[in-house]
Amino acid sequence: MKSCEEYQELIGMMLDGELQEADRAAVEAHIAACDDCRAMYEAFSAIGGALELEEVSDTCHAAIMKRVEIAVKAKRTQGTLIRLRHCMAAAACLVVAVGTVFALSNTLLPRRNDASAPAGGDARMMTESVAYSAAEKPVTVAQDAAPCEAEFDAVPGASAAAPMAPMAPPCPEPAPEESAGVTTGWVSVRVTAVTDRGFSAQVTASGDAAVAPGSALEIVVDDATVCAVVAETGSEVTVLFSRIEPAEKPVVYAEEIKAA
Amino acid sequence: MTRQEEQKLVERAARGDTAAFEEIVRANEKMVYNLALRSLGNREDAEDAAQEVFMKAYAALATMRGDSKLSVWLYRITNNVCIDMLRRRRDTLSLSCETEDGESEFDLPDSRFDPAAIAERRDLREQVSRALAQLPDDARQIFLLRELAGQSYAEIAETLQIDIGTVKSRIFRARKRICLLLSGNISEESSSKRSEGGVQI
Repeated sequence: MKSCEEYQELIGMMLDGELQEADRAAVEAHIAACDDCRAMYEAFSAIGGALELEEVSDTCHAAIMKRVEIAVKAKRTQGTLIRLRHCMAAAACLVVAVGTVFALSNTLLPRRNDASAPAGGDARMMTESVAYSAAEKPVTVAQDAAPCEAEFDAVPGASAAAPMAPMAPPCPEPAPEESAGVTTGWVSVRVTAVTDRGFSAQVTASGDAAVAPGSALEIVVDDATVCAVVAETGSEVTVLFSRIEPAEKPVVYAEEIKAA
Repeated sequence: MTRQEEQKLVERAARGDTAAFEEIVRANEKMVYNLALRSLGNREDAEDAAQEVFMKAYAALATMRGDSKLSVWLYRITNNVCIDMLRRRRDTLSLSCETEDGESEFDLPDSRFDPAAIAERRDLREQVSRALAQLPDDARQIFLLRELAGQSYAEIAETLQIDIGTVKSRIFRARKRICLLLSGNISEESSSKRSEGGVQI
């Protein structure tokens, strides 16, 4: 004959739907006959029913999907590094060293969903994640370079403040000598917006000087290369993921810049 | 959703279909969030944990075996994320109450309490929430998977990677311990000396 303790364990299993029919009948019979076990049955039932589910807030769901979107884009671009190359149109492109690391790492993304984040929170997240550190190596920036031929392609969903810069085809390798009249300095990249189709970035030369509008830039994301043209309205470039083609030659990356 | 539909959704999501993954998120975020909320005790941490769970799930989609239910897999990730967060949160090493076979030492045998009074309480929800917070991690996890997530014993065993016998005994002791806590038979001080880091998941 079972003890009350044994029946009480079976009571839990019965409430959980884990009892065979024969055992269930025995437990029900015992509950009917035993005040203590009947009270235990009622207590276990009440405890189980006392938990309520809270709804997930819209901001929580949005934060989950935002992080997933960023992970998807990181996977797509295979990007952990963006390097800007400033290329001259026509004969030669001059290599511009990398200014910024575009690091899509969970550890760099802010954990809290910040309801007070301004619109374009993506851009804010990523720019805060990727700090620009002072350049040390000189690069060549051609101020009067004619832009590469490009076609304008609008990117839906991109930041309204960022006009779409035309895209340029891949540029030839840089000539070994610098051209006359060319200044040097780092070019930094600060990603300002990411959409399903690409990203926009603010570019500045060393000393916060503006990169000349219309200048062509060659952007390298891992082994992929794409050219972008600085927008006429400011130092902004837009890169479409679809335009990124694998580079024919291996790319040497600049030193990774740590987040601030 | 049938298992086949679920598996197709996982395959689509693994190929980068964010719409498919969002379906997975929508179908499971409420339970993931609530499991985390009950484990961690506050909404901010629960939201962080939920984000972390789905990020890990997204990264591991390709490794998900079709023989497990998606919920079992997700709740396992949720458990692990919560345990990690609880461990990071704790500043001091508490006494481990786990015996070698994972059984809690703090269950009080044969303490008398009045179960009849428990069912009649008006503030039962709040009392149960407080009692839950005082349970050892393993007991709380198993209770939540059963009562909140509605998992069967077999599913709980798979989620926590323990045997069904252990599931049965832990659920029973968790319920009994909650009853004892609700009856005030365990003081606040003694009930806080619970297992801190001995959870075997």
